[in-house]
Amino acid sequence: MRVHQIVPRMDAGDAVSNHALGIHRLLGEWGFESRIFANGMDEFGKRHASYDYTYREFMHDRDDLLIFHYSIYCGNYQMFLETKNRKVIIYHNITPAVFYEVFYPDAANLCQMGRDLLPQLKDCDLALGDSDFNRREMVEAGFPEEKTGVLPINPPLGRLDEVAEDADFDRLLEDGRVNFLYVGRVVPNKKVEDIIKLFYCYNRGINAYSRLVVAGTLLNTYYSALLSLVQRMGLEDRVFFLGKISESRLKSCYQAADYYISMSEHEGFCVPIVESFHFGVPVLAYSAGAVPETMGGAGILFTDKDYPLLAEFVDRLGRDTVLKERVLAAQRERLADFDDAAFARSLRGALGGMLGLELEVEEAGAVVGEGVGGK
Amino acid sequence: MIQVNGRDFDEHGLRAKAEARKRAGLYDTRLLGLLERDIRQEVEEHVFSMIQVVYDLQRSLEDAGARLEPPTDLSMGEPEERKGRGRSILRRLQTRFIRAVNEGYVQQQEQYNTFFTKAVDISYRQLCGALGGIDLNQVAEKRDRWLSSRPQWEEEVARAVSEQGRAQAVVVGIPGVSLLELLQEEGRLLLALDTSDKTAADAQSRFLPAWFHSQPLQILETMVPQDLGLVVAAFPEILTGEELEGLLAWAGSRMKEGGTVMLALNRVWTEQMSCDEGFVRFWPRRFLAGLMQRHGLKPQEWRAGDRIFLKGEMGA
Repeated sequence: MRVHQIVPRMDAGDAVSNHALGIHRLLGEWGFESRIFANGMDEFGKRHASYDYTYREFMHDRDDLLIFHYSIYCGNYQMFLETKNRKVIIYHNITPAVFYEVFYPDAANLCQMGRDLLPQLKDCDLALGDSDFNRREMVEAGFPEEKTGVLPINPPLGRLDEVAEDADFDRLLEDGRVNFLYVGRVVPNKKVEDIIKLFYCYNRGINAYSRLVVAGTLLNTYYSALLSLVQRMGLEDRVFFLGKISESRLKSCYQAADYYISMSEHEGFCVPIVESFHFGVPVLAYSAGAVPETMGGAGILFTDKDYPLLAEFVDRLGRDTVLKERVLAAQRERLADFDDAAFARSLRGALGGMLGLELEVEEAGAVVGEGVGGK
Repeated sequence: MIQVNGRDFDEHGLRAKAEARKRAGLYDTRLLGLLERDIRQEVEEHVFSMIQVVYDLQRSLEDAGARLEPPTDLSMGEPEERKGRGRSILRRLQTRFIRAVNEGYVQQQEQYNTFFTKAVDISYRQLCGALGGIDLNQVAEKRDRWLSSRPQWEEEVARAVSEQGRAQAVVVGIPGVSLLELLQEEGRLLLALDTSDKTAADAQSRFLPAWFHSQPLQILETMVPQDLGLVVAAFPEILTGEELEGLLAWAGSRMKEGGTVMLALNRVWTEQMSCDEGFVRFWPRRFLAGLMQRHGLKPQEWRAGDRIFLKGEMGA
């Protein structure tokens, strides 16, 4: 039996690509022939995937399994509809169009098309969300609940550990200033402006010896608006937009960070939260989308964006070693849920039946507890 | 609601502290207003300013005699226009200008300027290197180190300065927290500004209204003090000549009779420091006195402890 995966893109550092690669690696270990197909890819992707049109030669075999990763509207959904393979969809969520309307009307249109298409994909053997938040959206879109389940993401955290550090960059960040960090695409649903507002209060009211680092791909219009806001607040020298950075610099960012802040109002999972847990950075996150689920009762979660109050909390966390250590301990504990062994158990629990694998008692429990039909 | 590790956190203490900071003047109404600002407003204003830039450019080019709009019907030439190859090139340039505007190429101007500035900076560094082997990075580092330290005024100096002028006070360049604490106790301290974030942070940790800004004047220009009576520039070296002029203009236009500006003359203090002269701006007394006079202030030398000041008072 062969297992095929289709992704919209296969790029370095991309969460969906990493998820597909994690599954690919385990399938290989379990003795299955596995391939990844993508509509587009960067140089990294070319080492791991083929272009999706080449999948057509495999789509007539009923014994094969197709795992379709759905995260954006992409023409390769047609192959998912037409294939004779047994079908599994993994839904990574699509940002509601409303976030993009003002800034990128074209992107808003794509998002809307993507969300409108979701109900048409319900004819499948298994539908997995990488969070329960995503699974519930599928159920709302008409997927039969008994066919749905959760397969959490397995961020390749070890990869960053192996990367050599950028010493010059380290020196810049580790100069004694308090570093606020945000990692991820700089797009409207992430509400980077709210992170800037929180930092504004902290820098102006509590500790001027601080900086905000924003690491992630910048999109023009929204970025211009953020720059304009930063200028209006007089924080030009204290807010740094790094754009997409190398893994060594990303590692430096996490290592130098004092706090990771998420103000996102729509998240399907949020990998940087788990990465922050890994690097021992306290996470302060707005409770929206799948964020509370990813945090799993660790870190700091808030429901109101009361910036002066949150700035006071950040200050308190910086001064109260006991409180900070309690937060970090809970984050470390939560991290165990995302390690390779846990991911292997979840994947085996979700796909084992279809792959003809014998399930151990614990894995069978996982199927009921966190996998198919369990929620 | 804030939850720590899944449990509700008692926010009362935090709220009280946030309120105390507001009362102390660390959060002003402009700051609180910006927290309410919708990011979409930035886009609208940005787009509007782009259009304005394009129209201004077009108008100034037209004023200079350039005709940018081609005739509606490109097949119709005007009799006074140049014929032949020149006309064709002009027509093509006109079309390209309009296309460039339409496609938003003006947005790239900013990027171009950045590259241009960097290129000039690199060339300058190369030139300096070729001339005398000056390590500009090292010099810049030394200068930064020098500029990041501040003269720490003794208690008696701080007290004497705080007794000058009347009503609200603004401090630019923080000479230690004593002066700010004295002014705050009297309810006079409106704001202290510094280009050193560390110095500002020290004051903030004592709930004193101190902000960091690399160009303090930008903050002052947004402020409308009700009754400004004292402006202290404890470290005028952090300001450029233009900024100093701006500061005195700002103070001169907002202070009434009896209002006082205190400019510290740091040369004596500076000479005790180890640094490379020539890379640090020591403002000459005559220059500072001239600025004061230009903005309606009567300058005179004034001493407190070992420190020398130029004190300027608003005349009638």
